[in-house]
Amino acid sequence: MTALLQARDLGVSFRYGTRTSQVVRDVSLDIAERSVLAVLGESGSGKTMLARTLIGLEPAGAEVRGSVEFAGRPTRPARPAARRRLLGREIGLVSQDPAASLDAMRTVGAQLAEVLRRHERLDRRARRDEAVRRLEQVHIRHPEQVVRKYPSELSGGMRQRVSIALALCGRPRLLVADEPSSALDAIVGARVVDLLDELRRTTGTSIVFVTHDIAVAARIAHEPQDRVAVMLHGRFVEQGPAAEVLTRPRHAYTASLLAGEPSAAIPRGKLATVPRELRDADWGPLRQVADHHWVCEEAA
Amino acid sequence: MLARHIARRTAESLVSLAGAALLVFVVVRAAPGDPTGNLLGPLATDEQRAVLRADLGLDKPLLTQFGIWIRNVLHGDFGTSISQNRPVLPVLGEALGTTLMLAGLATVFALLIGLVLGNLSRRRPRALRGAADVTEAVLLSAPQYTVALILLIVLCVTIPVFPAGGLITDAGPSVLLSHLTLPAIALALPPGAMIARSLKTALADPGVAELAAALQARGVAPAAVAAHLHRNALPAVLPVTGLQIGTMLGGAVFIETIFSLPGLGSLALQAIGPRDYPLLQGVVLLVAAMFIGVMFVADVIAAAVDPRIRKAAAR
Amino acid sequence: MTVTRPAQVTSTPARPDRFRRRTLFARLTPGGRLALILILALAAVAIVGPLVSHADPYAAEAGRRLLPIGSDGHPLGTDAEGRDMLTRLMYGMRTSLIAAVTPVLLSLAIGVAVGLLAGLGGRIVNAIVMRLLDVTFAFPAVLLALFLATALGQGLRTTIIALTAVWIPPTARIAAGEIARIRELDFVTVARVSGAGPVSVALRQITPAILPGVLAWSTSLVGGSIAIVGGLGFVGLGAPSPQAELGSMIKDMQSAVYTDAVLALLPALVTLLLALLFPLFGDALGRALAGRRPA
Repeated sequence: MTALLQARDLGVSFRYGTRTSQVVRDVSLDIAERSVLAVLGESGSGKTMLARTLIGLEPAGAEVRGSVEFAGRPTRPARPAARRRLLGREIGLVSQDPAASLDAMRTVGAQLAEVLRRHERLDRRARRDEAVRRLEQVHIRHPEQVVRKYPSELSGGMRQRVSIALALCGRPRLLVADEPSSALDAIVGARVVDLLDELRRTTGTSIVFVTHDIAVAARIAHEPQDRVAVMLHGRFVEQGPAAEVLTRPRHAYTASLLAGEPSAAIPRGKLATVPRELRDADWGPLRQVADHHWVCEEAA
Repeated sequence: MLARHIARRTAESLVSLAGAALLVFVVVRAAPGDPTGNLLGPLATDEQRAVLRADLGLDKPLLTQFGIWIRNVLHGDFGTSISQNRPVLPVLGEALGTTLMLAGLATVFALLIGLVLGNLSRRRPRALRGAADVTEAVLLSAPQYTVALILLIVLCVTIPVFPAGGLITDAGPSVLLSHLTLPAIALALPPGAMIARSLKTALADPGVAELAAALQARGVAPAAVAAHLHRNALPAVLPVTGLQIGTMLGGAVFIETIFSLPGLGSLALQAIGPRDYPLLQGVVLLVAAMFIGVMFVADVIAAAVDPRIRKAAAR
Repeated sequence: MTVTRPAQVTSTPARPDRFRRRTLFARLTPGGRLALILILALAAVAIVGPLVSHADPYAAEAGRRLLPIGSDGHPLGTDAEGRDMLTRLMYGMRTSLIAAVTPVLLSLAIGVAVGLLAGLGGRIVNAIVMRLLDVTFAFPAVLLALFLATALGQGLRTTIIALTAVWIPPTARIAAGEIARIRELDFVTVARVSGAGPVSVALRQITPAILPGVLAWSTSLVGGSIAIVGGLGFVGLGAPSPQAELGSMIKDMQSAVYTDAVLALLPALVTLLLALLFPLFGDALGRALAGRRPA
């Protein structure tokens, strides 16, 4: 089975004067068709930068090493025109802040129509009907009213649903979701995660799901083919089948993260924190420990 | 919804205008020297002065005088120019034409400068960005008359591309344009830099970068992405632009002097020497009215394009 | 006998650069540093020059009009009346700097006071003060200065008064904006709930906190002040002739534009330089001070 998206030795760094800051280090990953890769990491671990770099939308000034292939075609290094053919049509993005990813000065319908026009051959009228249908797909109630509204007139959850609908306009085979539920309150966020889970079953799209929340990662990555990667200081310290990583972690950092997760099993006041030596250790290359399961070793 | 916003801004503008008129009136009345002295000369008797004071209504209470003055102004009667010995209104009208042409052309230049510089300063490579930032800083603070003098020497004397001054209105549009281009450029430089700075700030907003990434990820073409970003910058850039157009309408005193253009600024200067207060009052009030008017229009456009302002106004 | 070795003295590691306390000068950007040095140098020339130089800025020699730069005894040539350009530039800078800086200092003091009144005086006071300030924003600054200077009569003192009046409203607005930004911050709230009176809070907590931002603004404003002072001099207001002032010197040299371009530009170039340096320094100062400002 060839991977839908494949990255090898991906690194991202920024240069500030004479100092260089490594944000992503030696990340390699494969995403199969119809599967989820949940990238789990604390804030500042470089997971958002990884997500952006995978689709070629890293911020200006980022220095990128390594290669990325989409469906066997190299996308990095790639010319802007080639990247544009991919974006929207093959790869979609859902970002953390739905307020910022929507144009506050255009109606929802106008924004959907603009993207639909790029991806589908439809006349004006058909586009309007299609926009309504796309909103129905993400379970927005009264879509024929919502198309006439501006983003500022919608709730946070609604905005994120609109943003998902926009990302799906070109029927992409891969969706990169960057903390799509973090800016929302818990219940609304969980519904958005469930929506993405449903959409991947109905549309067959794969998802790279970036989150800092173990519960959210477990909620989206629950099929046998799903994977979880744990990120620390820009590096994958563990990567493997979701069920394995989240229940039988092989890496000390993953284990301590899981122990820090509040749950009914852990008595109150016993919440563990990640020990500092784990965080600051110099983690070396990955070693395969089982089928599809890699773990970092401490450098000698 | 928009109508309510317009109504509120209209009321505010009228209050500002009344305040401006009061300020002009008070300052002129507080100015040292008796206007009758200027009119009658030093040899006039006290009796003659008293007659003239009654004639001009100067013996009435200050507030009554202000009321009379406002009523006259609203009827188009700005009084009689002392130095030109004719009604102020037609004198203003003649100068207004030149000022409007100059400021109109300068507005075009300022918008061009603003768009180009504002966009350059977020481009890679870094050297280009740095050059744009330095240009903006220099244009922003350079006194217009110094820049105008340098332009005059370089482009009219050293390499005579443009005529050195004056205004010829009856020789066709190309001659008119050749006389107005250089002063308009000199006038447009600081406002252009100001517009560039506001555009740059608006485009540098983290939310804007986020929107750009989201649009790109949806496959929206680069030109369309740029259109989205600029439209989102409009509410921030429009008020600044309005302010700058207002400044160009009323602050061209030095430029008009250097290039010998008979606009409102030159008129204000002509009124200074002979202490022609009716004329000066007229110029200043007209400029204030235009200034407030332009700000009003800019604000209404900003509200019209931004659904967030429309909504806020409705509340 | 065993000699106990002294415990090895560990040298304290040098603290990283960003944690070290650095002088304000060191925290300026290179451009800001250069601007500050040039400002100080030009100010020194303007202040010390007239004291040590025996040349007379008013000594006009009819036979020595418009001597070129580098002439014997006149290193920067002479003006249209045959007066020494270098001497007049020194005196002119002094006049212009005094006329430009004084209104900024006055408007800084008055503007901060008005800003405090507006920012802390409650809603009604705030509304009244702001509406009063708004009135002056209906005029371009240049025209307002021109108008006030005309009404007050010619002279350097009226220029200073007029400019002070022009700069108070924008400075007060900046101060009020800064106050609105910090008045709800924790340290102000803490002072308030711990029983400090409104005046004490205003003077001990708020004023020091807003000062960096307002100072940076006022420093930049000197540039605009130089521009308007020069402009008023250029159109014949401001310092009366024959007193040397940069603006009136530009005017005096305007007739020479066609024959002696470089000489004619000298006063304009000095004005341009001064007008550019202050905002350059002001921006850098604002950024350097922002490090200490409560966010």
